[in-house]
Amino acid sequence: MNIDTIRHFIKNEILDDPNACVDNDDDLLLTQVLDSLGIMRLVAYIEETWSLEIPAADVTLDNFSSLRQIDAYLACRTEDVQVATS
Amino acid sequence: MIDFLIHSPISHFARNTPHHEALSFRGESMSYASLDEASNQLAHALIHSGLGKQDRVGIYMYKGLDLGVAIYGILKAGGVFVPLDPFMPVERLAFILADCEITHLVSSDALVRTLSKLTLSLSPQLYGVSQDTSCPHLAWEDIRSFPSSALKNQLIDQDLGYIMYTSGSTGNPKGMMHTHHGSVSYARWGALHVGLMAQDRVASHAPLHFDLSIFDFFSTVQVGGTVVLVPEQVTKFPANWSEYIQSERISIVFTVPFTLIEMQQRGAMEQRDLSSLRWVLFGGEPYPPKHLRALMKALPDARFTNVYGPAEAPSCSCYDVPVLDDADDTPIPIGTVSHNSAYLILDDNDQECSYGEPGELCIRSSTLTKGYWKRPDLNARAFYRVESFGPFPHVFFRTGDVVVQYKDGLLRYLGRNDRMIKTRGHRVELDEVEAALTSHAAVSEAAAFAVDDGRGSKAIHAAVTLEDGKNLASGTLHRHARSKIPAYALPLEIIVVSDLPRTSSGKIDRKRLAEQKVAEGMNEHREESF
Repeated sequence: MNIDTIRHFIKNEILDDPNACVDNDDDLLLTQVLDSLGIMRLVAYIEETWSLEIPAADVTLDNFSSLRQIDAYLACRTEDVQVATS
Repeated sequence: MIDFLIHSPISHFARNTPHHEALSFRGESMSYASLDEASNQLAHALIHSGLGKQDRVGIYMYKGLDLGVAIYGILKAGGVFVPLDPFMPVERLAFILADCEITHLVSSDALVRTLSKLTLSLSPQLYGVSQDTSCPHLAWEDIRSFPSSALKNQLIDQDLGYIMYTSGSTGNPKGMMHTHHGSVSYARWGALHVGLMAQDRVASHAPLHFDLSIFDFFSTVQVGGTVVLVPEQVTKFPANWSEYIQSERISIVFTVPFTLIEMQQRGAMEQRDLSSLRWVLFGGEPYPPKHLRALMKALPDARFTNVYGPAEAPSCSCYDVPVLDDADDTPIPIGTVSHNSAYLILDDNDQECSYGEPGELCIRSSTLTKGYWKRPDLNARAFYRVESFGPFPHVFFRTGDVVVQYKDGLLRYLGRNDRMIKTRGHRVELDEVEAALTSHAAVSEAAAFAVDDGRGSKAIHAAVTLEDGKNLASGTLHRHARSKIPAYALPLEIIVVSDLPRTSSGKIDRKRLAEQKVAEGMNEHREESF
């Protein structure tokens, strides 16, 4: 599951706390899970893991403020890739 | 000019341009008439609940229209507002509430959960809170039932307007006291410098506990302009931030270089119409010329000003940046001192430096702090006093910033003479970071040091040694530090070492640690490129 892969990265790499609790709908900004640097690291990780290029205009509150939104964005992008390659 | 108290413009413009927008937030707005009425009601509510003249009132809120009501309501009641970062660790919040003897707090339901974690000796009266808590509270709805008549009190411009807390080297933050007089001076400097007009829409991008916000809120209302509050989440996403400038037709921005560099590099600026933006002010730390040049090219019609001034003496100098030559990477000067400011550049023996000789910048200005709250030790050493006529000496603030001045008259910033650093615009005392780490039982010694992040700012790193026989699970120290210091002050990386490098005099060699980190980074970079 993409959502769990991202959660794992956030907990282990960004928060450096494997026991942290990050729920799917938590506001990652207001709960201070992510700050500006954290967002940059997360975007770089997603780009590398899913071999995607995320345009600057896509790195927005609508796409990145909760795990569920990131998952939806990723689903949309990977679908694009599949359509383009099929 | 309107009056000598910082909140006076609100009622002035409520009479003269009652329907003009005073505040705007996410497409909603509040007129001068409504802001005047709502802040009078809050002031009456505060006084009714026992607030005395010059009592401190905390503002513990996210950005929103109510934030403006809180600021002006407290001031109108004769109170002193104390901005509290809604993202700070609870322990730090508890410290400030106790240190500043805050028994009244304007907050919101969104932060009640954090407030409930506080164990306070006093339970503060809360305002703007409707949820049940153990503290007495008034909802905005209750506050609206108070009279909206103007308040009468005997405030003068030498009374305090706000106390702002910043990183302190002892491990606890310190509060800077600012008067109405100082705030009005700062506000008028800003309004005059950029020729503010009622049509201007000024971004409130910086958090309230950061002194750039004083320009945003107070300069704007000097001319009856509109303060556009930027939601915290928007400030974290450069593409949303540039979109917000466009949709809110923001004309003036005062922020830190980090925010502007991010916007220029990741803000999708080419997809936005940013023609409303006429003036960009920046401060807090140096702006690398190559990045500034790129932004100036992207915003060819805007003007740019480098504003310098510690929070103790805000905006004490500035420099209007001309078009930068492509090949010129000379650091941007901090310029000339603002009106109603005087300065000295002193060497280690407090002798005045001559042209070309680096020394510490000492500032005497109308914006100067009245000193640190309840810190006689700091007040004794942070100021340089020069005998004058009569009983009162001239007081200069020792900025700790090393500058040089050549015969062109411009001041140039060279660095710090102590352990304070700036990271993404935030002031951090590295001693405070070390104090947070060594407060963990397993840590024997800690060394925090700053490394250039390649984006014009500094990244904090730390190395620690452990007490004999102690071990630490991964992440333990980060978690511990996060409970003590704000997120921006957390080290990016904490390494555990068996010994810390030492100088010949036996002190921890933090410079060597920083050099090792830089060398390590270069090696990693080389490996990546193979």
